[in-house]
Amino acid sequence: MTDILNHSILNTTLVFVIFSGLVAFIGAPLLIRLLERFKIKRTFEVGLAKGIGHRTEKTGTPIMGGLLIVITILVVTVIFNWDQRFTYVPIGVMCLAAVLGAWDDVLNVFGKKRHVRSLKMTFKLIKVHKNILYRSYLAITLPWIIFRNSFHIFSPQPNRGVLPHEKILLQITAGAITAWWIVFKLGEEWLYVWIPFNGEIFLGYWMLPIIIFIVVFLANAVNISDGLDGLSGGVLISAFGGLAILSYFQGSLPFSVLNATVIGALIAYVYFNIKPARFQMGDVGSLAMGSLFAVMMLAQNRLMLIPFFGFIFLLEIFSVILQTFWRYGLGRRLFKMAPLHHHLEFHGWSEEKIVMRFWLINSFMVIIGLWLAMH
Amino acid sequence: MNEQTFKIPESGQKIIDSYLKMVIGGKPIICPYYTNLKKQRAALRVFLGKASAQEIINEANFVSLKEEVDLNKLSEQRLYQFLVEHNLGIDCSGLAIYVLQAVYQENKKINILKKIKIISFFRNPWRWLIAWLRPIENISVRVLANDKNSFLINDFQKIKPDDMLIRTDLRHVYLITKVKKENNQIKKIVYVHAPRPKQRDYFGPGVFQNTILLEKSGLKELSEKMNDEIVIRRLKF
Repeated sequence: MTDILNHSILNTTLVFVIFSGLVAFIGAPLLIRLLERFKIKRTFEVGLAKGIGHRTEKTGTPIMGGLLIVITILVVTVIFNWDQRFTYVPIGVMCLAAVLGAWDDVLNVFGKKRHVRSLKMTFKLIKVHKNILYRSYLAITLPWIIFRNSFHIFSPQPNRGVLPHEKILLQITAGAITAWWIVFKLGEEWLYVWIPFNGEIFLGYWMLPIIIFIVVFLANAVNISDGLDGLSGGVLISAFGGLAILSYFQGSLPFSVLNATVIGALIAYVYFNIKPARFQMGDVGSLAMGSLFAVMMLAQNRLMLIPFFGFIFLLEIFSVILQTFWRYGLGRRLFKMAPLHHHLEFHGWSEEKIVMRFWLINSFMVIIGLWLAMH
Repeated sequence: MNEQTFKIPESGQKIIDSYLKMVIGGKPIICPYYTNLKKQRAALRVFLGKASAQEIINEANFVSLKEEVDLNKLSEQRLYQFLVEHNLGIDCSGLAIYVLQAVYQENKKINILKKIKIISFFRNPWRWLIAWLRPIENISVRVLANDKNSFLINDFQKIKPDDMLIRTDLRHVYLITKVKKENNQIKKIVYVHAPRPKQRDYFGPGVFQNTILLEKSGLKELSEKMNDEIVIRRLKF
């Protein structure tokens, strides 16, 4: 019986990979034309990235290519795989993150430059501003200003888009919605976390902060990794490939189909995104895919496999965290430039070499993760 | 005549040479002077006048890439201007501490950055933490001249390479690199320092290695010849 069921799941999964791939392949040229028509293009390079020789060639490439993935997954899932228990949350969170990312992308292209008043200036104004009411207002809102400015250490050159503190708040909101849904709506079995070689442990309401953290963390990790043509797309294929195999073993048809839909859309996306890219993912795709990846790892109860399935994403985000600590804490640079892929570019690795090696490394780690999942 | 020459070990001289022979844009130049007069905090130490020569070279290359400036095409004068305008250089205590660190590491296998007392934990825990994480940026002439870290040399004939000549107003440090004695009398002193330029828009070398020839062999003569009020101090470690 299990064999028949699994055979049926495998068959359906493959059908959805092919189907969603075809949908995305058809949609891609249309999307490229639309993005070019509305001039949603990469217009500038920020900071040291300008110094990497070939990066100037990327100026003028359409962004928001991630819409292809998001729309394909949304359409295919809503029509063929709409299940309150299994696909509401992943798709809902993906859409929320996509809206946030799209807002950021659009502001990056069309928005005005935004400046954040420094903490030093705020303190000065509190002391010397002639209007006592304004001084009181600044003093009362000081905690918020400290919060706002503390996030700018991760993005020292704020530009046109959504500012880091706004982004993090919206991501926490998305994470909180996911956490609320999983913890309060889906039942007690979602509060258990699987541990390799050890079965499951009950985390109870500790799951709430854990879920929020994982959603925010992975959304940003994928966002940071999306810096080279084909990098994040290819790594996501291997990550969702692992999830698809996992859902097949778990005998979960809705998850298998959802993962298959993602893989199909990503294959079409990467086809157009490999160097020289016809479009780039943009925040709309990277935040959405990061959030979806996080929710799927949670939904399939394989939280502990995130370091394996999303190995490259973690490597990239930790390179940024370490660089930030080194820079502000120790006053030095750990890497020539963060994230890691830019550091390797400065070392003379070609873009293709980095992308291929990162794909291979992540695929290898996914295989290790799958082996662990069997124990 | 009994002649003796004492000098700092090779590792210390290498550090000095790295500042005197920096190759940027294909040209060998001497490291310019920069000190953090703006009291910037939490910046990279390379922008605070406290970086090694290699860090300054790397940062100059980064900045040139960022601003699309071809350093190879800049004249020597423009290159100095480029470095100074981007806050790239070294200050006196920065230079002294890098050289002393290399010297003590080679001679006594001591990491002086861990030994020098910058601020007491009980006085200001936050500043203590920052100084613990970023010692080089927080070691000033005042710290080097503190009795907890160094002691005064009263007998002029006892000075030796790696001793510090500290201005009495605690605003500048010279580091002795070579001492030549004749009949146990000091006749020649070589020192290195990074003095603050007197002109406002000075774009030129910032690290100097000078030689003083002495006749009477005393601190007064040395002060006169250096045109500075100084005392001699040696690290305690």
